[in-house]
Amino acid sequence: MNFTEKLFLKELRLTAKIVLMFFSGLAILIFLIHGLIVLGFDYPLDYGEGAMLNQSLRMTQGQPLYPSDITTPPYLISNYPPVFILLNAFFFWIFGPSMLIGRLVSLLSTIGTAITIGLLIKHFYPNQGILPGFVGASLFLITPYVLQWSGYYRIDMLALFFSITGLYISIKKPEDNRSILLAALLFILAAYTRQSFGLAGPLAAVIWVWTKNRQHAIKLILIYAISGLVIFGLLQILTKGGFYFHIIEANVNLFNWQTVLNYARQIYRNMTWLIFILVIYLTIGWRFFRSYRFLIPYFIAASAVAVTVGKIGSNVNYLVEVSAAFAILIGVVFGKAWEPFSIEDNKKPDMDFPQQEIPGLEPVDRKIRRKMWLNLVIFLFLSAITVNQLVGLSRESLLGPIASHRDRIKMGVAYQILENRIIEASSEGPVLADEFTAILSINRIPLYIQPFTISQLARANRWDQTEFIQAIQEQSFPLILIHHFPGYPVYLERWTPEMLEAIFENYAAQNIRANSLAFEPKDIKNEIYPINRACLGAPWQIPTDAHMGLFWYNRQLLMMGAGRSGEIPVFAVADGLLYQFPEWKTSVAIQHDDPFTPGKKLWSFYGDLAPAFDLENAYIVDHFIGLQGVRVSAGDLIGYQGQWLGPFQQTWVHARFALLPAEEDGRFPESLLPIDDFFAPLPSLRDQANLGLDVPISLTAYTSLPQSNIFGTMVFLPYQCDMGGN
Amino acid sequence: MKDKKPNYRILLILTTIILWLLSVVLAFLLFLPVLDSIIRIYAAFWGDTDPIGQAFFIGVSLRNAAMFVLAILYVIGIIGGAEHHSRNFNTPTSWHVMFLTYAILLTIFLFTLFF
Repeated sequence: MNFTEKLFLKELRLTAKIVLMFFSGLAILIFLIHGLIVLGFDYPLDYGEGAMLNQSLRMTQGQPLYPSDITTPPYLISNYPPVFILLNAFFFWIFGPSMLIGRLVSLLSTIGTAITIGLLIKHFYPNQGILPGFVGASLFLITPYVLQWSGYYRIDMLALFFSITGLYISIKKPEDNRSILLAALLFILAAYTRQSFGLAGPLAAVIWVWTKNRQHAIKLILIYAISGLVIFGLLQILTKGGFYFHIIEANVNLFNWQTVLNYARQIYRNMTWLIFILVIYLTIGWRFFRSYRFLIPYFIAASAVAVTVGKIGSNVNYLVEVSAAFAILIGVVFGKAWEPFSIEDNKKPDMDFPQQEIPGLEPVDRKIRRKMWLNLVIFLFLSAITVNQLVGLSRESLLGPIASHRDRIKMGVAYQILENRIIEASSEGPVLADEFTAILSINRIPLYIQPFTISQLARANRWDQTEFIQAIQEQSFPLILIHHFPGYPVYLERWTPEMLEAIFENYAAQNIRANSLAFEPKDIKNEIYPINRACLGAPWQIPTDAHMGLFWYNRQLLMMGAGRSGEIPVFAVADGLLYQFPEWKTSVAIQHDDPFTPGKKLWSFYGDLAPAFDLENAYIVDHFIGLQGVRVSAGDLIGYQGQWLGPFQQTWVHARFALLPAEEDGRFPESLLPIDDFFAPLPSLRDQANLGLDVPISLTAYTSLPQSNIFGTMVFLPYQCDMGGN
Repeated sequence: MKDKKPNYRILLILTTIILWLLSVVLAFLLFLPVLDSIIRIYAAFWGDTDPIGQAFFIGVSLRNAAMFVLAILYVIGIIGGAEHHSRNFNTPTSWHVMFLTYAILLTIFLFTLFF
């Protein structure tokens, strides 16, 4: 073997290692930057954080965590066992309530889990340096599900840390009595941090230990099972049966297989190469990998847990355990690929040649040379796959959870305004909130209800909502915050239809801050609210319901109804002739006789009647599509509210409504035809006046809907009648 | 690779010079893509749609700072590389540094390609 061959064999491997180290390091850097940003943010990033924070706070106040009776307020459910809650309660007791503590525990647990994954991989390949473990750990950290959840005040990452550490200890020293005891303790902690983490880790550990020492395996099962049951029994007695109700019965939500399918597709898209490796490992791994005996049971159990992501209200936290399994897999496969064809040390050529002198030829057996090249090719191939996967997951994390958290954090001052409003309202009575319940707990304001969990119980007829609805009808709450994500009407899962109906009847959304609508009691003494889409005394009716409020934008109204895309009907405001112009896909307009100026015409415009990103399936009633001059009467159905805002943008479920001037002969003004596109630059009022159009037209005068004088930015307006009339 | 014949030595010198020159050009060409990639990652964390907002100006500063650091590393790399190759011509350490240079360039190229 000459120097050139040795050089390529050695340096190509080094090149692959450099590339891998760089992208692994970059992945860890991205994870850490995200972690630090999230730690520095004082407000909630996830709905579940509020419940966790509140439970810890209640513990410090000596209130029961698992009350057996939830028929009287506060209506609260503690879905999880108490370890994480107790840990945070301890820190609350010292430092007071804050988001930082729980998030720090979660972030450190994630880092701890990554280190343990690295150590686990290192245990199987002690001679391969740190790279296989480093790659496995970085892949775990950059997996979008892990990265997203690592910064939340949630239980999952701590539970995973306990579970993985227990697994590592039992794998490292299966013959050691103390290790078995410690592993059992960690598995109990995992299960009592989050129920579902009591399965995959212990199962994999028992199977591994069984292959080494059956007696110890039985010991592990017995300690884990008996201790777990004893603790369960004690908690049951202490909580008078409340523990079982809260962590088991109240957790059985409706199940949606479509959600499972969507997540499965997402995993396939994000982790294609990992799945490819898994399939090969699953098929032939038992011949080559010692780790097969624990990793496959771990995968199976973690996947079974991941399937429960189909429960309504579930999130990517159900996928963190399976993400850990993938990280271990890539590490052990990489460790094996280091040198798949083993070569005896005495037959290996001397690769540590002196740095200042070109070494001479060295006789090396052809078989050995072939093995060395094959080893290199396999190593390079797997490195390429790993880099590709690391990069793919890094990009997915940057564009997914990181960008989403960025957008949420950017709302900045809106959170402070919201917090001040909550504090102010809480002095008048209980405040209800969903997404931002954590703000209440940070300010030590007691929770009255956890809307999502209680609504799920009400839906399953396990909780009677009559008294709560009566309280809403009596306007007992000075403020109700309902979060309104632009992309998905999640409030429909968090509140029952009956609760929402009572809220819309007795409350009106007064403003929106950080995407949360602030509903305040209707002031029926001083204000008038629409009844059956009409304001008393207005010549025209209102085109559609807007219980979630109105947005005024450039003399148009975005009317946000309560419901899903394609569910909320839009009607003609008055008699007239309906047109859908050829260049329009999601809009229609109706030509009317002006009720204030006989003989004069004007137009009502109805836009964005289409699903998000789907121009071809607009919600306009079929028999109006493409037609012009069709006679319609006031109240005729013309379409449904949608999430369409353009080919690349979606927003809240809404319909866009405007009143527009007509040309002198009554035609629709050509200069306003681009109005079909929300972002199209339309002529200003002055330009319209110069074109001979009779502007401005007061929306309030015709429908009594409120309007604003602000131009160029979106202004929130409550869904109420403005009787000013101009 | 032992330089026993004069022609062989010239070929080795030419190979070294060409590889070094190529690394200089490639590194230079990677400057702007690297800056773009850094800004794209920055935007994922702190980006804003406001064209005159704080995020924009911090982004510009970051780009300028990164440009400065890259320029220093570039100068160190090309001068240091040239000196190392000339002093250690056709030794294992010279070829090792050459491989290392291209490994780093490949890494940076992949970085600009993917981010």
